[in-house]
Amino acid sequence: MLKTAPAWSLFKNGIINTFILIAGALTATLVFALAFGAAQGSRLRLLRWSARAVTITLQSSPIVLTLVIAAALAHAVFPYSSTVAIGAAIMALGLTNGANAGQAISEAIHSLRAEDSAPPAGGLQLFVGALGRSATQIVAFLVNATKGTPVASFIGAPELLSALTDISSFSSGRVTTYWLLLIFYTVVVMAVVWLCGRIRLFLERSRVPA
Amino acid sequence: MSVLIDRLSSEFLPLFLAGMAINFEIAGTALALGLILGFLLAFARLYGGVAGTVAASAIALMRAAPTFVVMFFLLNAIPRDATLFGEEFALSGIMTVAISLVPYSASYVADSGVEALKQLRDGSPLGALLFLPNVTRAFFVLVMSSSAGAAIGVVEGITVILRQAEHLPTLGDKLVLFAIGIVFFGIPLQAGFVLMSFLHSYLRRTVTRSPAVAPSSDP
Repeated sequence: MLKTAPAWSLFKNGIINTFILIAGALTATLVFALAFGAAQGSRLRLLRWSARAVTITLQSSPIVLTLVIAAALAHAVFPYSSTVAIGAAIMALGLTNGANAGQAISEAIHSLRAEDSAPPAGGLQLFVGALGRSATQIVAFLVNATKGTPVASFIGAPELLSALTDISSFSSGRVTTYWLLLIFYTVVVMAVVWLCGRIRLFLERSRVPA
Repeated sequence: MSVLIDRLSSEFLPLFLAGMAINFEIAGTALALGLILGFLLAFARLYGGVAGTVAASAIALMRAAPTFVVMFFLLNAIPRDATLFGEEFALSGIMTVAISLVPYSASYVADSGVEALKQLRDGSPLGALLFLPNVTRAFFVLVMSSSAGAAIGVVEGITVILRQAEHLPTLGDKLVLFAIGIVFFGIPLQAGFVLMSFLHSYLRRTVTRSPAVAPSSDP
């Protein structure tokens, strides 16, 4: 299966691109989650409603459609390349999962404000407390972003699924190829679950004491 | 907008609605299979011992398996001439997508089922009934996830939109078409969330009125 030089090269690049995609999707999810959380938890009505409208729109769009829209917009600005495809996928996955995680953060902000023990003025302390309270949800959407990365192959991102599909078209061992793919992604997601568990513990420890 | 409507083929709307019906069919099949497998795993986990350990491992693996990869695995790893009990066993595109969603639905049902059974055992029917809104939420996640079928040629809602978009000349027209798709997918999804909220409130009211949940009924 990976005996020829082109197959090995495709496989190696597929693995590297997959890790770039996962790292990018996790970072983008976290950044968008913080931004959406802050906006939806804001006391400014216009900012809060705008963020809420974007969240509802993103929730209503199947991930495949969000990816296609991101790719169409990216290709309108930049010429097609694998870097642009990976970038568009990172943005789409980050926006979709970040908006949902941001909603959880904002709900935590509102619940902390409603509690008597919450700090009266809000600010950074309130936001950090909300991150701790919504840690489980944030972690769930980080894991979801990782699980969503293979969908990037739909818009031409050359990650492992895309690479192995190409390899199986000119080499033998198709069944082995897809077993390898399934095991690889399952192990990667489990590793991300473990890593996110550590992040959740860190966030929960940073909760504002009641 | 009227120019766009002129450019949309007359068959677009019926085809799109038929495609969306496929999304719901896939989600329904995946949820039905997930309920069967998920409850078996939930009971095994609560039973404990070797069965419980095996079930917990299976749930963890299913939770980690990405749907898109499972779909391509099923498509490519199952031989076209495979047989099961002497019968031909070729999965259709719709069944391939539905089965690829089963690891998610079964692990979700198992997790929620274990929680519900524990709540029931601890004398909290309200906690156990939270299983119903949770399953409703999973159904809508499955509807949205079924759009992955577009990648293997299943003619569901997103496939119809993408095929129609190929005939539109400008990015602006395509974006309006995509927005129409989001609205059509968004309406049942948001309605589902409202339904889930009502169901949750109704169950809470029903159970708290029931004498069976009075504190004295606890063991």
